[in-house]
Amino acid sequence: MIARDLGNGTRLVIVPSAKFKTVSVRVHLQAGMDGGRTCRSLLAAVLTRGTRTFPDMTALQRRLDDLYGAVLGADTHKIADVQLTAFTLSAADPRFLADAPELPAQAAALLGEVVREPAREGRLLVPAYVATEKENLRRLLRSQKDFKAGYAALRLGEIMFAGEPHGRNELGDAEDIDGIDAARLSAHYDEWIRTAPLDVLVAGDVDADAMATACAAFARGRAGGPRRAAHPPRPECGAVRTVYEEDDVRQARLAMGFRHGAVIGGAGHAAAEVASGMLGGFPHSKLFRRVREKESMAYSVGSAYDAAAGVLAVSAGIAADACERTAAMVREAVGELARGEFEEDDVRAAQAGIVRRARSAGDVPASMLVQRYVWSLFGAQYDEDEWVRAVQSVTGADVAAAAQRLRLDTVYCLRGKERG
Amino acid sequence: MGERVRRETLCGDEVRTARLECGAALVAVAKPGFVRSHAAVAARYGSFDRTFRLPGLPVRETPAGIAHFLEHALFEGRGGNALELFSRRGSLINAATSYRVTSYYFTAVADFMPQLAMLLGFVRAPHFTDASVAKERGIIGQEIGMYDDMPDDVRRRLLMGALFARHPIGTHIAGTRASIEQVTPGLLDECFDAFYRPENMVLIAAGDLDFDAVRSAAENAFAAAPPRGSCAGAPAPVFEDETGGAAERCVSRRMPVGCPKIAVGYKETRSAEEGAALLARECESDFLCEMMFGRGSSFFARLYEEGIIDESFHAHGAVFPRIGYVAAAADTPRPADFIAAVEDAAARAADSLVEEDFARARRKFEGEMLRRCNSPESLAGMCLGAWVDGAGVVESWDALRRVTLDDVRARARAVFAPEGRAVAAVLPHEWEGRL
Repeated sequence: MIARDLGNGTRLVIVPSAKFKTVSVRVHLQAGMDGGRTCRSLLAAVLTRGTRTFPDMTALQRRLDDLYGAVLGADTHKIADVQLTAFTLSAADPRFLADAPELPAQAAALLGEVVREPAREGRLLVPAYVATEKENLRRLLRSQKDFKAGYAALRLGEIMFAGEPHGRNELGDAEDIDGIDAARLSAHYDEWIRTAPLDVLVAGDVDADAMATACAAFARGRAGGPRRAAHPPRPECGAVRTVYEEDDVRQARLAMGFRHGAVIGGAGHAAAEVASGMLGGFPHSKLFRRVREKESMAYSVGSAYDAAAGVLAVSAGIAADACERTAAMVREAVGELARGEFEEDDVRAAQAGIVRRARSAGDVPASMLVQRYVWSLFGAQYDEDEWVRAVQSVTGADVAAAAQRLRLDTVYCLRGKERG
Repeated sequence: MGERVRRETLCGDEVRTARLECGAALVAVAKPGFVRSHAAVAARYGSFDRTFRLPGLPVRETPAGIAHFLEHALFEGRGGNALELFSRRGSLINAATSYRVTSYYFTAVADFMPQLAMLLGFVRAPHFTDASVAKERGIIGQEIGMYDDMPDDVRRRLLMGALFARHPIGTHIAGTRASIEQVTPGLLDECFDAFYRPENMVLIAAGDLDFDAVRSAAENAFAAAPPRGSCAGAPAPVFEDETGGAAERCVSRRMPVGCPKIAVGYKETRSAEEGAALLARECESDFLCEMMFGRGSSFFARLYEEGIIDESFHAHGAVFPRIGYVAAAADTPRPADFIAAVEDAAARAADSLVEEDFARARRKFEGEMLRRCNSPESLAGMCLGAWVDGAGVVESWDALRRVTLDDVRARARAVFAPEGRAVAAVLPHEWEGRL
């Protein structure tokens, strides 16, 4: 890994690797989960509409196509109480092309223009782009209910973390959209791009000096505010909240949230991951074996540990009349883990699965880059071998202790109006 | 074991292809430096094969969803459940059934060879019992429920049903809750014997692995489990005639969605094709959709700027031995305008295709191919797709490079017949507009 300080709160990190056939460039901009969320979510869309040199979608897309189908993206993510905006560009590696030796530098320069030199009318971001993207965002927020498993997870988060930054929607709030116009969005952009910590992350077979030169434009004219540390939601909770909602669905979606508190790089992180793996992370887990394979009640059932938030979430797609029974089975399985009712083999199986995930990430450019970045938000340095050792040293007693710290906070179920 | 191995190169990776003694095909792609290795065993058997004929026997009709059911049931072996056994070793394991193929696959970062033998063991040793069939029926019932709540999946099924009256593409791959009631262990055995014959199967491996070891593991596994039963000859799917226009012009369903979800499709029927001819049609479809509807097209820019489509818009073409279609789909607040715009583009298609766009699409595909070669899983997927068509993955890549602008124009004229058009709509309950 090569790290360079480009100045003005701007960092360049390169993970050199010759095994990929692409060069991936990511730009990460941080902010809080605050009132400006909706503006930045809109900016992710508006900035990819056009740049100073390629002022509309067609010009920009044709430039990407000419760069051998380079793929430009912009996404908004939530990591505990940090809103992360990522602009990404993946381009072909010139080693596999006949005539494009400058492609990585051209790709980085184009991404630089997207982020730093958006298309404008006068001093404003193009008002027509802002207007369309406001409508698109409104529709996107409405359509979050389309995919039921995702919607159940979204509702669980809203209910469980109501009043906490982590409970807010990283895509923004529909009620904020009306109050945003091109002037307000442009002002927000100018301030954000000047002060937000900015990281340029690169994976591929590139020349570090050439990349640093191509990326210098990212740092130009910035002030660079302080870097953020991520703060997870509070680990303690009160009485269990149970919320049932109804819609026109054939299958019920159950989502359960447990507060735990162990976060990335901190004490108990690896043990919490192993405990979640044994509970529902893999097909050998208690929930998969019991709810799906033994009782034949679900096609999809599982758990995942969000180590940025210190929260374990369970998800299942089941018959509408099976919510209470499934929730009881989940609580029972957590109880068994806490009492140490499992085999040593189960611990080893979960460890093997987590190690496979960690090792596999090194084969995927984006996973490699994002993993390191997210750990850095918690003041931790990701080292694959060290993480694998931490996972492998978790004992059965550690798993039981981790499960004892799980506190059921919220049970959410979306189900049909007719049962059965 | 003496048969020649074909060696080719795809974007810098070596692809080796061989035929095993039993008749099964083997394809291996070298990914030096990759930590994870991937293997897939597949049979040429999918939801299109519901009605089939074995040589010398009468036509056999089986329930919708039977190939998918078999896929679930085969992972329940004498020695345990494959999902559990592989995941206990840390590996990612799954299986999938498509229209034309069923595949079983895993990704490992350690102990690849013993797990490859395990996978081949599961796929060659069926053990269907009343208990396992009853268990899978419950699980698949929930899977069907999940698909019924997925608006994009519902829209796709509505469109296929509207385009095709008789072809099995109009029925869901998983079948229905009623059709899977008819599945029995005996029926699964019968279909296994008909379709899981070695010459109807392939093993694909991609990773930093030893080709000779993979080959001998495959030889051993197939030798240890020869085909059961006495029937000789390959099963042939039986299709009813599907010529003529779309079965229905417009179908819709109300669901809890945020915005109308519309798909406009054009049906294509043609004489049975495979191998090079089929590959050529697929490549022409790719060019056609990219040039007409890609993000760099004037169609995309105009509709996006007018607020008729957003990022959800996509268009794709699919080609099978007898049928095919081109479809454009979007979440849109203005369904009627969207449908009219697609119809208008289709009517003017052949004249709108120009050299500049063709050259740009070709460059774009070249970069896309490199991106796909970054992953053992997607490489294996490409190899599988080519094998199902009766071709090799390098051949399929060459086919894309051989397409000419005139081919794409001819294809546009063949695909966009107004009588072959159908619309499928998933609409919010509260939506009051007109289609």
